[in-house]
Amino acid sequence: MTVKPQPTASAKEGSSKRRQFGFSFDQNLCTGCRTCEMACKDYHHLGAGVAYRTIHEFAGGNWQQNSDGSWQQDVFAFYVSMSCNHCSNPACLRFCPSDSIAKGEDGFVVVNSDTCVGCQSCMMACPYHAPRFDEAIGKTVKCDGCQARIDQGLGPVCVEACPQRALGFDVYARLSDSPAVTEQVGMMPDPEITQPNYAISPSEFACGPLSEGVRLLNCREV
Amino acid sequence: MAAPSRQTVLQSCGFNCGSRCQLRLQVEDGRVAWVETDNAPDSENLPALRACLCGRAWGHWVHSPQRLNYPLKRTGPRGSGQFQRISWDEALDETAAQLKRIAETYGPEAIFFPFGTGASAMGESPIERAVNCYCGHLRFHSDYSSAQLQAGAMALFGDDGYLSGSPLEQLEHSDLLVLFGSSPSTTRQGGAASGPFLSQLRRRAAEDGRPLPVVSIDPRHTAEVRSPEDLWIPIRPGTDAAFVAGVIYQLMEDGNADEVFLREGCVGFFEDTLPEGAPSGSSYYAYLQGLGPDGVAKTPEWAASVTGCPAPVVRRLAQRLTQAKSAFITQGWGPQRSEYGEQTARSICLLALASGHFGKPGTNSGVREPMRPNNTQLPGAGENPVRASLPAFMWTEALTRGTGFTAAHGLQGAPQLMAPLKMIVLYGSNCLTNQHAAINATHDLLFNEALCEFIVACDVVLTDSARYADIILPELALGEQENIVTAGYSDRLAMVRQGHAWNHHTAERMSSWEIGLGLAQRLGVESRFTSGLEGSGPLEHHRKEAFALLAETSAGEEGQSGPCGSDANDQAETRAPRKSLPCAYEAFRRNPAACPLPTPSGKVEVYSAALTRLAKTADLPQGQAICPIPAYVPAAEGPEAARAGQFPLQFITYHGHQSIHSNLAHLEIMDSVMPRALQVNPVDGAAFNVADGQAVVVESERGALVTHVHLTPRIMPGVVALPNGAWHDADMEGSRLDWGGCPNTLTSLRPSPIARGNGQNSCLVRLRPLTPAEQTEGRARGYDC
Repeated sequence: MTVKPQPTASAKEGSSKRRQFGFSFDQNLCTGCRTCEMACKDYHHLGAGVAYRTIHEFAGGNWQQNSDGSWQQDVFAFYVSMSCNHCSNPACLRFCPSDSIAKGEDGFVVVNSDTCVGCQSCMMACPYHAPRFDEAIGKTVKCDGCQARIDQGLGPVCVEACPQRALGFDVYARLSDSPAVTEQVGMMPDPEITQPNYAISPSEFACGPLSEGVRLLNCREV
Repeated sequence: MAAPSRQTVLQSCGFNCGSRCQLRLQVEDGRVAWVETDNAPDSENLPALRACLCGRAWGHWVHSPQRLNYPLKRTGPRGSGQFQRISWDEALDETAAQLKRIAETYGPEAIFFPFGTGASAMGESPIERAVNCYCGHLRFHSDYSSAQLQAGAMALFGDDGYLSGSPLEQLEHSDLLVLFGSSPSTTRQGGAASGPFLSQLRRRAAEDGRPLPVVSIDPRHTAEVRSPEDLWIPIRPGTDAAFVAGVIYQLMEDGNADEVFLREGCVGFFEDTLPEGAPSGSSYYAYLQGLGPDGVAKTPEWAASVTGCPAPVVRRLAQRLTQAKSAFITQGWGPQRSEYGEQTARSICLLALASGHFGKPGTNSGVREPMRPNNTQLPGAGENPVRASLPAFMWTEALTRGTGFTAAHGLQGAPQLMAPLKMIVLYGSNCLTNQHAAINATHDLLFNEALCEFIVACDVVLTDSARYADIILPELALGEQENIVTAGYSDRLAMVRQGHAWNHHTAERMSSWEIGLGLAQRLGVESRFTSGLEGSGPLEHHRKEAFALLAETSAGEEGQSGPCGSDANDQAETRAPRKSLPCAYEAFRRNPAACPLPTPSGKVEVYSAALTRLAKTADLPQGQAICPIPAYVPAAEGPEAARAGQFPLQFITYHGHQSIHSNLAHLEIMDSVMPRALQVNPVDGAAFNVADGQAVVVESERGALVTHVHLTPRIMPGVVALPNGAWHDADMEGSRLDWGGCPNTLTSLRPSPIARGNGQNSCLVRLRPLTPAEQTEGRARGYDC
């Protein structure tokens, strides 16, 4: 497997021709309802087997019984809505042996299904588990940022769907221009690996000492 | 990208969360290709009516394999699901003939329409209108949603609590939100409904530097608990009244209860305000202090032993209520859906009264936020000449007892049934089996054709209940028809939306209006059926009503009217901010004497003399009692019985994000997005030797189902939970093991004592692994086990 050279200029800067879009996520608003996931599946006709966006449910804390039979606990929970983060340095692209993954004009990481050979290298490379294997066509599929909607002046379907207004979408430099946002919460990988364009306003439970001992509760779903 | 044949159709999501979110259906070749919703820019006062995942799955629902396409007639035994296609003439002729026969043989009281909110959810049924024009039918009162809360609020405040609570916007004046078994972000999750509204109110409070922490008293950890300032207090299901007693005991002990109001505005909190004839030691105060019949003081330590909540946490809530300037205390409908739900519901209200967080800005009465007027799509059901009325949940009991069903069993409007129950008309109702209780016992009642002689169902999909029908009438969904819809439970808006028909040409479905008219013609009452509608039709009738409601409920600011989306510019929706409502019982709280409540005493009846009288006449199940004060009463299947018996776990259901009751619960795509599984605490996982993801059998005294275990710390030990609504799927001639995982395979028909309401959350179960034979059967069914 060959490792491709990494892009030299940061796509985050943006220009009249090239721009880098990204998602934002207010973790304090997400209730784990999965409307984003369902809207994505419905719009992209994904069916039951494939999901571009999934909800990760995290929880921590412990239970202890007192001598009178009552229970002590310090349980907490939070969610992460996760799809492709359209990274500035995408691992999937670097590891694709058939050059089928590219960054588009809007910074979206897209798979060319004409040339994809379905080897699933990208799936193993991506630390966010964004590329998925579609058994029906034998190829890798993933979130394309709803490029067709963006071209029509609409937002990604997941963002327009969120009843709690937890998901956002914009040129990434605007979304990330706040000290309050982070690109890593809970068990997410170090953002230095791929430079994800995902601006998270974190829950207090998701960072710092409170988040210790946190576990992913729904690993079979994601 | 736009295909030339694609059409955008403005429509409404008609499921019974009641929020009426906007659907902009993308229709291609007579099918919904996908669903768009309201993507108009948001504002604080006019939020977009964004559909939740249920609305987003709407296309999958109308095109699901379970969709009813043609009228059907039963060919196998009742409940076997064996049907043959017949013509509309055959279906309506047979239904009309049976209706005539049963009305002539037994009288109109033999005909019953069970509660239901599925199908088109278009308000009152035109089929009922046709029957009312002909002869009338046995009524029901209350519902499956909040029967115990309605009865509890009636005893306490003299109204049913549906409209009397404080609206959520009162939280603008609150500094503490106390939720008993309430999760608006799940039960009302649409974009303009109370879930997102609550988030907005909390965010606004934070921005104003006015914290609005949440205390959630619930066996389950919900998404309402979001920050370290919030507090989750898990208690054992059905023990809310014990928890409240512990908190009020502590408030009294510390001198922090609102004793002046408890004395002046209430009957029977203290001994000296008991009504005439009440025995001494029967006040709530005597109950708290151990001066009543049980002789036990309701200390926080006592509360801890019953509820499983440590005594210091009970005290902490008393302290937080004392420190709060305005606490908004509210309850969802899960806690009251238990054997002693009336006690639960009343006790939560009593906490608001006793802590002084009542009748003032930013407070509530303890009931759920008020239900705003919903749409009434069609002219009403008309006048029903029959007066007799069953509690909605009690039809199985009435079917069993026949004319022996009397006022002592909850019958209203008549001393006893004049006729046995012989005909059931299901209109958008899955409350025969799936959403009723004790499916196996209920199956046996329905299977016996000598009891109920004829069942007709009108629905959109073939539900488990519809499988018991003798004739099935396939209906168009709300969002397939011309319709007028108002904002419903989207609390923040007043709205009128006109939906447009698009799916007339496929299959042989009819609107409920056409079905009602067809029946009316066959019953010879067509002119009565259409009277008052000459020259305009039902839609025009409703349009007038809807705009009158808009004018009445809008805040009077500029209404917003206009196109919805680029290719739907002839399809308009009118909306305006909704008028704010005052906090609950403000006038009464200010001056109880001048503004009395509609109770017999005009005061809050903490001790209800009416309930004492009811206790003397009611024919209750073995071991059940009616208590005049909101004391804790252990349920037949509560935590005490769990510790003592063969079924050690309390089983509860909740509204999951992934379905509205049983609507959508059969969709494979929904299951892929949010699979149903039994929440089990890891402590219980270890104790009962079940692993995460394992298929298990859940058994109660009444039945068994198969589901997967989801180990999570977000549920209390000793309690297991399933989302409601899964579709029952069992071989009823064989093992009756429910592979669909429908909670009502397990639940009990034992009604609550006052409302005679459904108490599904009082249910004990045990877990066991599948036997080798069951594993073989499961694999043959394609079940992951």
